[in-house]
Amino acid sequence: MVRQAPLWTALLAGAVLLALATIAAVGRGVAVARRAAGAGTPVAEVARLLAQQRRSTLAADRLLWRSGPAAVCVAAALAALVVPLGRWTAWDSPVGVVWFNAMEVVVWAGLWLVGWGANSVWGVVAGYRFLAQGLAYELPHMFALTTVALGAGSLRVGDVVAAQSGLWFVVWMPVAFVAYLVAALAMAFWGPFDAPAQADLAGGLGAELSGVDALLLRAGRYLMLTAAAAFAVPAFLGGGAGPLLPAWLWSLLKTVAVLGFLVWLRDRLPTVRMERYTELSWLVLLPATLVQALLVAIVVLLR
Amino acid sequence: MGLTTALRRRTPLRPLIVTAPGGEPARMAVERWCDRHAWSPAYAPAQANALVVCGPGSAALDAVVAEVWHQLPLPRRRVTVRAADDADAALRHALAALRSPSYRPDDAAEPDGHGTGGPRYPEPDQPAPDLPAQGGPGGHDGPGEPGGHREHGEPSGYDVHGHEHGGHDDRAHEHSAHEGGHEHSGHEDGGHGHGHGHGGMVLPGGVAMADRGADRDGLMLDRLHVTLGPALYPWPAGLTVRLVLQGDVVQEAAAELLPAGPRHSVVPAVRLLDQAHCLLVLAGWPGAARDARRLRDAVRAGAAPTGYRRWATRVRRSRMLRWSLSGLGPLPGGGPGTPTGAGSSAGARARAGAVPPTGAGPANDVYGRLSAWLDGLDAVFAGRAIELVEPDPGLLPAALAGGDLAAARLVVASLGAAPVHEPVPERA
Repeated sequence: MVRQAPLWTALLAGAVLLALATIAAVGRGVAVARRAAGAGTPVAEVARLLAQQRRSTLAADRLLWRSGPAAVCVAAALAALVVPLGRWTAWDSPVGVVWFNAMEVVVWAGLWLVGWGANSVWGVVAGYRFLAQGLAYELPHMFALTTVALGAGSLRVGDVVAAQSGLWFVVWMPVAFVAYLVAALAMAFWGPFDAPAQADLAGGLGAELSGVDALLLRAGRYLMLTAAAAFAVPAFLGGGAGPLLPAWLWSLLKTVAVLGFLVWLRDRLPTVRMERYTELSWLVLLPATLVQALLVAIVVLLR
Repeated sequence: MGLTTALRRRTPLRPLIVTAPGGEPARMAVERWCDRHAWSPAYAPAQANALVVCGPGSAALDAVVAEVWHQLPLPRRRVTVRAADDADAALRHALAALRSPSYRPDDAAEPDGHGTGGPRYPEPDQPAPDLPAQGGPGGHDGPGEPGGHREHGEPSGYDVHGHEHGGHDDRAHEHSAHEGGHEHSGHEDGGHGHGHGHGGMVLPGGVAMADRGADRDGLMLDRLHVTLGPALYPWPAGLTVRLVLQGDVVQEAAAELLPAGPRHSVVPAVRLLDQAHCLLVLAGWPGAARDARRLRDAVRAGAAPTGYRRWATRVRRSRMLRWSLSGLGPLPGGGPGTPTGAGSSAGARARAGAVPPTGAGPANDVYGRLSAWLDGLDAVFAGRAIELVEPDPGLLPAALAGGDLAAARLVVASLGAAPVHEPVPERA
């Protein structure tokens, strides 16, 4: 059973999120270099960006532009609040599933502001790309979360975990799980859904960012990816359930496994063009998640 | 400043690579150097801390380079790598300078002593008075560079037609797309040069309203003039493409080339692998692009291309790549990407349904051209001789118009040299 932890654990949730995101970044550095020396690259990049001048563009909307990357980081941290670590959760919200979804929509706003605020053609095109991507991933994603809530009969994340004591949701909601993972990649604009930050747009959202702003956007991306991976554990993978090890450790291990898979995908797949993906999303993924929701609803009614 | 110094000591080099015509071998050496350190080059000036010009300079390119230089945030270094052999020393020197505790931005304009002897660049870091329109006090929110610097006001992308937005700065250079040394001479309205004149409505920052034109559906939409190249990475050396955009759809395109540089005799395999690397970077597949670079560098060094077969199979088998690249950039009537008689990949044919009806043949899109390169590479590594047909830049406008801005980069990258070889017996 998941219980509400003392209030100060909200800070702990943020720290754990940051630690996991750092592990993801370092792991990616190693994967890119294909040797251990690459682990230092993300750290060195942080050092570089911290010491770099913040640059601006002509007639940029500085307030909105600079609040965008921060909004992404904050949204990821707030989303992580409702993710239980083993038996404890920093915020046992009665509408935790909706909260997670809402925070992830804040990312939309943040990224759009980043793209728009720079007054640069790359940024605006990238911002629109992200909106198109958002429209394509969001509906299957919401139906995936709806399916989870339906299966548990509750929007409380703790209840979702409790409902999986017999059978993990991933087993009887595989389509929803796949749709969720796809959305997890897309909301962090992580490959193959990194079109909004691609080389073909000179870096897209990040084309005009430098210094600490660029650092925040990159950090926000890893944080969001981590938060999405972490939420997959209570939603589909039985939360802290597992033999021998303590529940909190199981939560962490499962999160690292999902996160590792998402990071690993980056180098395996090329970027998907958004107009192609939109087609797939609306014609295949959306109907598939609807059918999944229907099947789960029937099972819930019959049992 | 102790903290800044400490942070700087760890800084990696993030070069914005500008290739002059004839500078390809130098560029490959720079890329190889970056790969060795597991550092990736920058795609835009804001991301870079070094501006690396590969190959011999020319007046036209120097103008572009000088403009892009202003868009790099501090700390920054400029490096000229004339020949491939100079890359290591020049880049190491630049990195040492960036990491040095005594770094001063004033030094940074000096072309590095290694392998240069290049042109003396104008001093870019003269203090310039901030004009009120530039937003005044917001100018210094970087972590403190000593003196001589203010924020750069380049709009970096919006080159709004019919005015000049250099009003914040008394340096007489134009600001256009950050890739561009945009001279405006190609525009139909011509004649607006440097200066501070803003006709019509002026918005804060000195940017006037964009003009409008009918789009393909007959709607009146804003037109944006964006210049791609020649200071863009990855991008063909010396190429400038001027686009008229509505939204992100290319309405018109015009291409021009800087005068050709020294000719290097390039092994066909190196050329094709290099083209594949550029295309894969733009297609967002860094893993496969890195492998293409490794193979390219192995062939350049005269080593055996170990792992070629695995890489080629992986690229050919990727459904996602085919899905994303097919149907892009069709050329009227075949074009240079169509290898005469070459066995084009079955995959492209299978997806022929995705190719618009204008497409003439399976190789007539970006994916088909990539497949043709792979076929050419297969032939080379099987010991057969192939010839390369140089692309015709005159084909670009037709291939770009109607596509979106990002597809433009892919289409340009795909219009590289095409292999021509004897008909391949059906691959098993």
